Amino acid sequence: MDALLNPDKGLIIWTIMSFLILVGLLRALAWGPLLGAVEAREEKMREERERAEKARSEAERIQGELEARLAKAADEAKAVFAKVTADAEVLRARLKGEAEAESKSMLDKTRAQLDEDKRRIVSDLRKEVSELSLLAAERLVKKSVDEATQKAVLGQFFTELAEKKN
Amino acid sequence: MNIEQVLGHHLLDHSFFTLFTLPGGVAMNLTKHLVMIWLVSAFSVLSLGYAARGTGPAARILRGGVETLALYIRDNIVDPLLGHDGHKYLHYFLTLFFFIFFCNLAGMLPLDAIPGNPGISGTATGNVGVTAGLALCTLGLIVLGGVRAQGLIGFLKHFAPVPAGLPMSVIATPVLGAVLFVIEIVGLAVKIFALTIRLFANMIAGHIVIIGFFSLIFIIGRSGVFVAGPFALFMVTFVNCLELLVAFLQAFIFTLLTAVFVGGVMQHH
Repeated sequence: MDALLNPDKGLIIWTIMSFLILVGLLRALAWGPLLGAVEAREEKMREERERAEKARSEAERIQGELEARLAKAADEAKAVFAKVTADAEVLRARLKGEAEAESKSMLDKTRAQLDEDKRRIVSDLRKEVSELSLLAAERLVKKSVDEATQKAVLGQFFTELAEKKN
Repeated sequence: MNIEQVLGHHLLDHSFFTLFTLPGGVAMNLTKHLVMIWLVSAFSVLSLGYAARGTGPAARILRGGVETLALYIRDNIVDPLLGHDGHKYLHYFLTLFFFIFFCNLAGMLPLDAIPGNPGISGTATGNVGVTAGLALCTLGLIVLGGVRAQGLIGFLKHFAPVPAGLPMSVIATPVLGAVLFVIEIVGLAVKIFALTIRLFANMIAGHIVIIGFFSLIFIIGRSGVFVAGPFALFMVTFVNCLELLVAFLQAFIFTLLTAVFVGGVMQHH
């Protein structure tokens, strides 16, 4: 059994030579292509992952931007609404004031007109009554009085009447 | 029946003829284990080359398997142990693993049973000469890797790791350096020797156990009792399964330890 534990020098040299040649052969024929393909695939996967991460961060950025823009638009809409409400309030107040002023002036005018009409009617009535009274008196006394005297007498009569009334 | 003859026939190398003789009287014989090495090498080139370059569905399946093992060796052995320079030596470790693995498996093929076989069979990795050759390749890689990574001076300094700032450093440093140098050199030789013996012993042990169980049939049968057959068959099947595991495990361990030793001299301290 000594042969089992005594290495053959020739076989050692053969083994080393054969193994080193095998290393070279497999490097050229197997490991080169295999590891090249694996590394290319890993590189591609790494690039794709980076691209996906970039796309995700880009999407997040856009989303944030959109949200900011939406918030800004909502703020603007709120501001516009508030301004419109304030304007409408101002307009309403102005219109109300104007309408009130107009109605007041119309009322005053109408009142003045009515006073004027009243005065005129009263004066006309006085004149008419005086004429009728004169005619009646004339008929009663059957005596004609000149027109100027009639007017003076009647004027005095009505003045006294008015004073008495008051 | 002579057990020793049977053992010798199955375990020992057998020289067919001498191819040539080197100066110094080293005979370069063509032996059955050498033929096995060449057959395994040819098979490795063909099968792994097909796996790497083939285009058919079979090649794709084979590539998947080879790639898994190759990436495991890269990601779990070479990269962690050798650092970023490890990829330069990756093809060496892959070849080492697959060569030892295929040699171990080839030793389990019953090539003797093929009619007309002139005795080409056996486990090449169960020959101490072959494992010594592989371990010397590891030694070569340790030296090459160390010198390439740290330069010749840095590599030699690695063998005398004297810490700085010793008391009486004028005397202590050279003395301690010399002692450590001897210890480190002996340590390296022991590592290489252990690599040689570990693979050789593991591969031959299973064969010896199998032959032992088979011999039981004849030893017990000589006394006229034929009961050992089924038992021996069961045990041999069991040991064969164990040997399949050991074939993979020892290829892995040899590769791992080579990476540990090479990584040890490549890292800066």
